[in-house]
Amino acid sequence: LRAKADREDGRVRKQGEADFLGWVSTSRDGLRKTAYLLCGDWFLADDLVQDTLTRLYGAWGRIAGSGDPGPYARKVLVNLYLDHRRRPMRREVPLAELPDAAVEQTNGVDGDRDRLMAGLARVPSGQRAVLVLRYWEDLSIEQTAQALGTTPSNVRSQASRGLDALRAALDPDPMTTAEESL
Amino acid sequence: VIDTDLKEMFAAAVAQPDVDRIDTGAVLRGGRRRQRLRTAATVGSVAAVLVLAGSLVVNGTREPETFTRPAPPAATASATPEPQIATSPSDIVGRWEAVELDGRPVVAGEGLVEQRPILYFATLNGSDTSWSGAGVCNAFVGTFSISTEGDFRAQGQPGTFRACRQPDTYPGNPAAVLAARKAVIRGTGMAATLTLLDAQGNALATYKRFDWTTDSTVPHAGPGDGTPSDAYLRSYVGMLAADAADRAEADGWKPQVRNPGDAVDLAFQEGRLRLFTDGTGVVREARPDGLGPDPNAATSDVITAKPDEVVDVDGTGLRLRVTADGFCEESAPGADVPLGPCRTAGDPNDPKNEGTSHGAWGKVQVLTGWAPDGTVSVVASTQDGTSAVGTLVRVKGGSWLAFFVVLPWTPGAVVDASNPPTSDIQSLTFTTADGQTKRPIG
Repeated sequence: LRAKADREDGRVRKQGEADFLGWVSTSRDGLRKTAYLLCGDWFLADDLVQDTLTRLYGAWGRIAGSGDPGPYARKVLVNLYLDHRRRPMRREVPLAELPDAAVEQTNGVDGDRDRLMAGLARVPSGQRAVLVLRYWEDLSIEQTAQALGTTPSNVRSQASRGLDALRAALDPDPMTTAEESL
Repeated sequence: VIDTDLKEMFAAAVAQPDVDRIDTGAVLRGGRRRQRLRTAATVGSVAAVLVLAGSLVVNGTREPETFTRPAPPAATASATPEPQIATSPSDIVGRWEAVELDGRPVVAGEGLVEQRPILYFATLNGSDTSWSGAGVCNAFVGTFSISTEGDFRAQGQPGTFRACRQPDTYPGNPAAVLAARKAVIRGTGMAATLTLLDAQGNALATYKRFDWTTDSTVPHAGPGDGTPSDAYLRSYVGMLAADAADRAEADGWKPQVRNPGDAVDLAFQEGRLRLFTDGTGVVREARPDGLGPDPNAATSDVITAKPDEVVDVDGTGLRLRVTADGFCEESAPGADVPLGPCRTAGDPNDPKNEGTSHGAWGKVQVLTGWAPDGTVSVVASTQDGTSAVGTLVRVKGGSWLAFFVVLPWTPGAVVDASNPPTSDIQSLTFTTADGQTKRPIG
């Protein structure tokens, strides 16, 4: 009976592993992109996603049984990112000027991407998470609040402040820009 | 920057993702580790909750404590004695009463003969060991060993085939001894407990020291009460000598015991309660006058006979012809049974083969009942306390054969299992207790 139970446990475990890998194959790209937008570094993004997937598999039986694992994975990923940002060793070092790459006069897609990422880097991590979830993941206010474990009003507030911060980062002297346009 | 712009900017930023460095294998390994940790944490949490709930229940029945009450000293906080693995036979010698067998508690009073499963461990000269354990009605007997590393091994075989009115209540008592690989002792003296563990460390059985002082089923008899009952005598068997001496003294006897660590046998002879220790082979007596060993106490209360006198043993139909240096078996009157070999002092099967220092076998006592299928157990005892238990079984052709094994409390008795000393009783004739059936032997 014990051998039979062991075989049954093994079969269930194999089935769960197959389901998990199937979900990973269709979701990992999206998670990587979200992670990259959060942290701005593909290496760190992969670390965050791998950690996220590890935690997801650790709770796979419970998560998969309750429906779509996506929201859970997204919540874990954001929390990992925020935890990473809170670590003293990983905390941003304030700089007087943006790195060279950000001020480099590049044109086209690469230039826009670099400018965006440089601008996001200057947005506080909480506001940045709201922006990514709201405008990249297309989550509603309520869904974003749920993913971050906060209130919808706080999400609205964080989103507004995040957009302001990003605008300021992307266009540090709007008055000059406005005068030039005139 | 407006919402739609940001969406497009995000899409452009991740349009050319870097090389995927995610290690799926590491994900699975890490995930499994987390699953195990979660399971362990869950089990631990449940256990903690149960312990907490239990402590709350217990504490709820106590007088509430105040903050001014001093904390109990550390020494009293842990009331459970540390377990000690037995590394010597002397660690477990004695009489034990099972409190848990086969995973269930033992209920006093179940069973018929002993009323509870008892286990005996005894030693002879610190090396020869024996044990006996009853499933209440019938018993196993055998030998055991304990290495200095604590490895326990026991061998045994059925010692009795009694006719019981119900099956043995606790067959797990002798079975636990045979399966045990460790013997664990907690506590000392009469407060000690014994737990037998199997090869995997699982508890097979747990025992406590048999405590005659609280056993209402054991009658007490003093010197003025006449001949003690068999139940009274048997209740001493396997007790540590010091405990037996205390008990005998409490009953009015005056024992002299010099080997308090030994198990004892006890008999009542000629108005004397005789206490046999097995450590030195020296008989110690508990006599009303407190005079100690009596070397002339050569007769028993079972048989008193002169040489060449044929006696009937307690009306069982067993007839013995006592000789100058031993005894021979006689057939019962009217039974066509050949005369059997005589038992003498030089008998190689005599474990106390000490020449003339060993007196003749003076008694043979049938202690057990008769089974409906004809099986019967007998106990043969010498006057100096040497005894052996035999089981009579029917063999092919309708004859009977006795297999003798050693009683665990037998001082000095040795039996070669490959050559059981059956010859000395093969010509015995037994008659059932009601006198209706005769059982020829040989």
